[in-house]
Amino acid sequence: MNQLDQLLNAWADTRQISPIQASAIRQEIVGTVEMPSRKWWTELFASVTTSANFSYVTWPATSRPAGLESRG
Amino acid sequence: MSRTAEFDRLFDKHRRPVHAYLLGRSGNPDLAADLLQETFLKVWKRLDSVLVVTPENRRYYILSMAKSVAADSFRRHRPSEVPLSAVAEVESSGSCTADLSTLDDAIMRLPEELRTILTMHVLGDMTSAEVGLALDRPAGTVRYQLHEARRRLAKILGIGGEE
Repeated sequence: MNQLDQLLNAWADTRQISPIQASAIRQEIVGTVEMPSRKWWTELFASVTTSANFSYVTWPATSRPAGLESRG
Repeated sequence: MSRTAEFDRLFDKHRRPVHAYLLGRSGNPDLAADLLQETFLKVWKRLDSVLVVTPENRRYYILSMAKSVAADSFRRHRPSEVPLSAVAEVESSGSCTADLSTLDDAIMRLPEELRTILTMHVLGDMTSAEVGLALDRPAGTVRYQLHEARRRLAKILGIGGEE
């Protein structure tokens, strides 16, 4: 490996996105709360549209948001 | 696998080449980090369409998103761009005591086209063929441009072996 290669490799190490920076970027994007999956929404809407009583919603039991109790 | 886990897998696997591309295009580390975030925000929002792409083509699909993000950003605020043919070579400093900050400065002063190919190769760990596929040009052209970028850097840094 010649001198330029060694310098370029060392340069690449200094210019990489650091794990801390990567983690911050990832956190900005995803946020701290995971969005409910499409399947969850599908189940939720299905429970609304098939229910004769629209006064309450049966939350899908598989991934009910914390703090929300089913009224069913 | 959850949506977040799928995203994390893509982010861990592809952030390096995408960042290398964006650093090469912008020549500005802070802007490259911002554009990396914008690109992967797009990936997050369109995760379903990314996951439909075959695993071997996902890198190129995400890089195409990065191209679009960079193009949008440069339309708003264009980093200094000079056509490759119009750039005069920087004279050698004559010093053999090249350090990383001199190299960093020299890389950032390369024409955008050469800089992008160099960063994708060195920082993004991509082969000439992979860079060619991402930038839609023959691998032979990429190899020639890599050689040219290295030759210019060696000259600026005052070190031999690239003629």
